[in-house]
Amino acid sequence: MKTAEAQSKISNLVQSKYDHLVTADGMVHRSLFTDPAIFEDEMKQIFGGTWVFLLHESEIPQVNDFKCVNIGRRPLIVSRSSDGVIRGMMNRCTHRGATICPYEQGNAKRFSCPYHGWTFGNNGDLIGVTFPKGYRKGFDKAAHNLGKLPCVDSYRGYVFGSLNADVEPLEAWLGASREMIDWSVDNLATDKARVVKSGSMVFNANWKLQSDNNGDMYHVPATHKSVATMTQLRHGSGKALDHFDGDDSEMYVKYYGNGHKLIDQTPAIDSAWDRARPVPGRETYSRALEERLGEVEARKYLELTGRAGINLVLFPNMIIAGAGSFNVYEPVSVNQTIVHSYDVVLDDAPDEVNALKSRFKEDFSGFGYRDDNEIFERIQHALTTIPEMEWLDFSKGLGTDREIFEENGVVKGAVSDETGIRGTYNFWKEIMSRDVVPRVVQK
Amino acid sequence: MKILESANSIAVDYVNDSLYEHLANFVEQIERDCEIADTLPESDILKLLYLESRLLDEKHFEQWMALFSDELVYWVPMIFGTQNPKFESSIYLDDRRRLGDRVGAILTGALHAQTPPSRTRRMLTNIEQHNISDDEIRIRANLVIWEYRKHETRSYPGTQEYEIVRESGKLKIRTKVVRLLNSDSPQGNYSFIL
Repeated sequence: MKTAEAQSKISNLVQSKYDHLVTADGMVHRSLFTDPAIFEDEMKQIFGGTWVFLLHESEIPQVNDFKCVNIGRRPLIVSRSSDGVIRGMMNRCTHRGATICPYEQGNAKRFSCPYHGWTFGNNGDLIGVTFPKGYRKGFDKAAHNLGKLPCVDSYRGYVFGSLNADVEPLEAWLGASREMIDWSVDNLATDKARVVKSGSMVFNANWKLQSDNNGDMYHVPATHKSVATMTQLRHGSGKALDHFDGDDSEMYVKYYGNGHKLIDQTPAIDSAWDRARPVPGRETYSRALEERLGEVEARKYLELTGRAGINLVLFPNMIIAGAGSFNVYEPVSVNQTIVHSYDVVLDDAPDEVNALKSRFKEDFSGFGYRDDNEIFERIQHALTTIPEMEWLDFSKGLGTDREIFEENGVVKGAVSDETGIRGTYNFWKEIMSRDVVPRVVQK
Repeated sequence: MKILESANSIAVDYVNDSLYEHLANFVEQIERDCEIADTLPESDILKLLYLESRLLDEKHFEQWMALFSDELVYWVPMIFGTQNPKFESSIYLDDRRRLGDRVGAILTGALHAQTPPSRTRRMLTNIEQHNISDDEIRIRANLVIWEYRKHETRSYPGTQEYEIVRESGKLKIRTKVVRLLNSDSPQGNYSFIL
């Protein structure tokens, strides 16, 4: 058998294997969450095959600023190079393989390898080797530039990169989901929004459980019962999750295609500020704003202090929660995930607004995430240890009249249905069967 | 007052610019002044610190919260070594009301991440005392919290800072700062009170 033929046999085999693991009736096989070989394949097919969120432009505002992130598990330096262009470069010396940059972020014109001192410009070019006389005539310096991402592009300040040189244009990849990115960015009504890190967490479960959960309103009453009960008892009704009726609500979920999905709570939230459980400074700072700016102007700012009532889950690794807040998923292994949280400081807003925003950020990690993470770890434990039970059921909403098929493959569903998550798994199956070759460019 | 009752009457107006300024000054000064402690910790101070640790470990939350001033601040910074609580996101930055919310969520019995509950033991060592006045004492100590939950034992090392004040003759904790060594790295899913 010729190599090409053998290759195609294997890839057909792979395709049929994944078809079997995500069924048309909404069942997903446990191996998607437990099989290290599937995880490795995801690092190639998904995190090497399409657009992956890297950072926000405001995190590297000045020329020569850089930040280290991961693309899948690959350590990457994202630099606003001396020519102003944002580039993604593998944090790996082309000589003997050490990571060259140990800092999370900073400002640097050059990166020097700590092992033998090879030095690279912040555009990735090799600019100097130590004791160069030892290298033969014709030694190709350009072939030893840092490995660069073939594609880096940004949309409304969000910077994405891809290892797939043939990836579709970013706007096409984001597709219809751009309506909510636009809404979310426009809602801030400023171009002085500066992204800052607001925390990070690690849990022992597969990364897709986080992505599922961010597109899932069904879990909220049961999973977050402690917070709802406490809030009701201490702060009365009209707060938090009181507006949630999963079978009869103006809220909805949406599947946008390309794995992207949305929960939109805004139709049921008259005011995010009124709904919010009180944070430290709520009374003093809102009063100060109202006295200084008047009630109408103050209210505009107060509505931006929390989150805006959307969960826009962009496949594969981020969720935009509105009002500048977003989380990024970082797969560590088949059963471990890191999540980084970010929010914005509004540099042209009054101090009170930013102080309140800081307090709101603490609320989500302190009161929401821990129950979710506990559930993820319980799922991971049961899926890993009970091979006799193979399937997870994501069929809620399927075959009912609650799903509305819009143009361009967009599907709208009832807010407590698994419509969006199911869309993501169907896309997962497709992207996992694509013919892609992730690669870096050096010249 | 019971924790799972209306929080409407809790004082909240003390959370303002001067509180943030006070907190920032406190942590800045305790960092700077900690080269030489004024005294070895006095026995009534040690009693308070040990009681605070034990009541929290044993989950006697109402008695525990009674050790604090009405206008308490409970700060667990996220950024390592930070002195800027106002504009940074923290792991906790609680006034009395939000600390009550945090405890209240546990007391509902519905917090899955505390089912089963964590067992904890906090160790305070290297305790340094600074006397600001007769009515104001600052403490800096090394800290390890041990947690056991679901077959695993974990440790959380760091430092702890206290501002203790005398209110009507009684010592109360006005400010407590818990600085974890790994506060800026991805945090595990602890849900006991740090």
